[in-house]
Order: sequence, then structure tokens, then C-alpha cells
Amino acid sequence: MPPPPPLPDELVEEVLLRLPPEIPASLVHAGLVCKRWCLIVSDPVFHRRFREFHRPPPILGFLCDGCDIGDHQIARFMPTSLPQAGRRRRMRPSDSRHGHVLFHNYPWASFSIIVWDPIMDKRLELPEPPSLSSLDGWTAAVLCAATPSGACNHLDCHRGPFVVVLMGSKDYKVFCYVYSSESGAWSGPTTAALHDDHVGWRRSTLVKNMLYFVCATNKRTIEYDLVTRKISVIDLPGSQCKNKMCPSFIELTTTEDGRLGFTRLEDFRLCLWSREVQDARWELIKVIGLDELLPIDGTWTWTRRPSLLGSAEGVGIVFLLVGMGVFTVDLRSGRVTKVDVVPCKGAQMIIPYVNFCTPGISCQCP
Amino acid sequence: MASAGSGDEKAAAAAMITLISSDNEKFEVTEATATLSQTIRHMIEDGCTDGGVPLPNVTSKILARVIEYCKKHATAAAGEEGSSSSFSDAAFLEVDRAFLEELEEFDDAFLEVDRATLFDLILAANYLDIKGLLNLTCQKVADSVKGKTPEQIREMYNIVNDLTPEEEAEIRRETQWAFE
Repeated sequence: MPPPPPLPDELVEEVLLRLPPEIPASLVHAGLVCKRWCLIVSDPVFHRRFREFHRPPPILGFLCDGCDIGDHQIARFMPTSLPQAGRRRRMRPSDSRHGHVLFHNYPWASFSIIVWDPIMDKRLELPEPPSLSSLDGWTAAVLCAATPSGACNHLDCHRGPFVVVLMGSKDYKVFCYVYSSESGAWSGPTTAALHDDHVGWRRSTLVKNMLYFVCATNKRTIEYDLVTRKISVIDLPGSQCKNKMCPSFIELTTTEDGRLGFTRLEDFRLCLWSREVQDARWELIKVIGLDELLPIDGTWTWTRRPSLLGSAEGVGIVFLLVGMGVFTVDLRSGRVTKVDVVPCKGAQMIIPYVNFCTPGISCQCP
Repeated sequence: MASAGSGDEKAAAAAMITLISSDNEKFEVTEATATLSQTIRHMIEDGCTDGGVPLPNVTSKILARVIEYCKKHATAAAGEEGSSSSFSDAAFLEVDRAFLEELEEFDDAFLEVDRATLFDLILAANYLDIKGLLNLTCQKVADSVKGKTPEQIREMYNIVNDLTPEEEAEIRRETQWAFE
């Protein structure tokens, strides 16, 4: 059968627009087919359409916080389809959002925080934050600088200005410092009282203009208002689970209608809680039984028990570690999927890297 | 030849439209089926459908397939005035799951065509402005390109490589990661 005559450019564009965003190499391959295709995939207008068509952005890789063979702390970037893979020894990742990745060195011989853009492979070392060494707990978040104004759709802001919010605790107080890439300096602190707890080494969650951090006891969350810079401490409902093997970690999430939520393993069932907007009451809204969904043969052992490793913000997905396997659980459908990555030893946290990668092919064709 | 919509008892009460293919074949369809095409919808609104709608860019073979698609999807869009038949539309969320699955099966079977027919369907969907059909057919081609090397894509779609060896080498150099 003779091959079909070529499609007009506008329809080739419609086809290429539907290439999978989670495999950025497919756009590159298409660009090498011929000059027409090359011109289409290298056009910034096409890139904008591509991002709009496929929003929200896909997960392009995972950052793992754990140890390597020599028991050095490492941050490992496991791209599913990106150019820059690799290990960063003596580094730990604390957050990734709006195309940026946040690392800090470990141990803190000379403390530094680094913001990395994996698409452009650009690193920026931030000036040393004020007096961190004496804190009893801290973590940090990175986000697009336009988040409080709502002026950015976050589809292509990984080259743009960002802020880093550092939340630390000491002597029953929380401290918040904010770094702005536009001013190149830290500001703060803003403080609030925090009794019988300190800031946990967990990833934060962004809900509208609020950043939420988990406390080390998993009993409360710290709310930071990006607009008013006010800090509030919110108590979380306790777990009724009596099984000592069941980890008490919580993972902050957002619910389908955009409210703050959290998940916790209670009797090895994944329980999803959400916070009512009207009276700030916590409500158990979903329970997902894991026995039949995970490869555990119905028996829970210390080595095979699941633990919560992280979540994909805004899309209702949490990551579970079972043995050496990482699984995603879709909180809406309850669907469990094995992720094709091998976490590092002693993995404590997995942070998805979520962004579009529309490769900059400089097509010089006439 | 029997017109495509005349066997439908329910259609008796509904307004009928006659579509005329490039090879002058006439197809009688309900207004609900025809208006999945935004192009035809505008013609109906403008009152220019008396005596049939000539479609000089669409052959009878392709038009029959397009009508088959529209009849199936018009049922789904019924009662949702103004909505298109795209799978992502909120209107679809209201439709019961079984019907949605049936529709997906229909779409899968519908796409079992040779590449020349698939391209003709894309051209017709674009000309008639049927968003759901354009999405379905373009996605089918995109899926066939996905994971293929540039050489395989050229061979599949008979595309001549007019990039100079220098241009190709330059692109490969700056996007080396995509070939590892």
C-alpha cells in the first residue's frame, strides 16, 4: 500500500502536540525527522501550546534522600527521562517545586543551600542563612516567586525568580527565614511559639498561599502564610493504631477540592484526612486497604512493612516504600503502581521532580 | 445507496440534514449527529443547509466513517448543548461508566484503519471541525511515533530527510541526552 501524502503543517503540529510530555526525548526525535518537523518542535509558540495541552506537568524523575555504599549521605536524582542523572554525595534534597530542586550539604561543615534547575543544569549556591547551626530541627521549601500574587501558572517558571522558605525550631519557638532570588538575600525571622515539638525533616506542601511543614512528632503541622508571613501551629488528630510495627509518619497532601490533607498508615491501611475550611475540623475522608494492593502476601514484617516516603503535590499521589520497591498510590482511585526506580539505601524521603522539558533545539533551517 | 441515517426510527421526529460527499453521494443524518461538526453547526445556524450540505473535501468513503463516529458520539453529547465530544469534557463525567467503556471500545475499533485512511480522517476532522475526532486520530498518529527513532518515523510516513548532515549533527550534539 502506498504511504499517505504528507499532512499540512498545522496538522503535523496537532500530532506532535500529542507526544507524551513524560518522554521529552520523543520531541527531540521528532525534530530530527525533517526540516518541517524540526521548525515545529523548536518553535516557542509550540512549546507554550504543548505545556498548556498537557497540564499539569508530568513527573520527570525522583530525588531520593538516603545513603550510598560508604554510608555517606547522598541525594540521588533518578530521572525517568531527563538528561541529568546522578548522585550528589554529602548532599540532601529537601524540596522540589515549580521546576527547582533544593539541596543542602551534609554534614554541615560549611553550610550551604543549593538551588538546581535540572532542565538547564544550572546551580545556584545561596548565601549562608542566618544562625542555623544551633537549631534543633529545620527544613526548607522552594517555590516560584510569583506564587503569592497568583500571577504565574507554573508551567514554565523554572528559569524565573524563586523564593526559599526555611523553617527551623529552637527552644519552643519556630523561626522562618525567606530567601528571594530577586534581592539575593535572606529576610526574617518571623517567629511563633512551638511547645513540645520541633520542625521535622520532611517535605513541605503548598496549598494556595500557605506552606505547611510537618513537626518531628507527626502530631502537628506548621502553617506559613506567604502573603502575611504569619506562622500558625495546627494540631493533627492522633492515630488509633495500636500496631507497633505501623509507622506513625504522616505525609501532607492536598485533597481533590484543593484543601489541606494528610495521609497516615493506621493498621497498615492508608488513611486520608482532610481539614474542613469552615471550622478547621479534621475529618477522615478515605481509607485504602493495602493488603491486596501491595506484594506483601498478607503478612507484615519489619523488613517488608510499608512506609510513606513522599507525595506528588497537588495531584493526590503518595509514595510508599515496601522492601526495596517504590509504589505510588493514587488517593482518588486507590490504584497502586510500581515505580521503575531503585531507591538508595535507607531511603527516607522521595521527592518527585515535576516539570515540562521542551528541549531547546536551535533549528537553523531556512 | 441507502442514506446513513434513514434507518434510525428515532430520527423520524428529529430534523434531518443531507450531507453530500465530493463524489456526490448523499448521506441523511440527524441534526444532532451533524452538529458535532462545528463547521456544519455554523452552516445550520446561518440557514444554508437547504438542498444539502456539499463537502467537496471529503470522499464518500471517509464521510461514511466520519458519520459513523458522529452518530456514536452524538448520543454521548446529547443533552449537553454546546459541548464537544472530547474525552476530557466535564459533560462526560456524568455519563455512566459502562457507556464510556463502550465508547472507548468503539474508538479503538474505529481507529483500526490503514495510515492513508487515518490521514484522510484527520483532514476531514480538521475541515469539519470535529474536535473529538481530531483529537482521537492525531493521538493515534502521535502514539505510533512515540518511542521511534527519526529513521523509523521517516520510513513509516514516507518523509524525506531534508536536514543537511551538518544540521543533523548539530541537533544531535545539543540533544545528546535524548539518544542515551
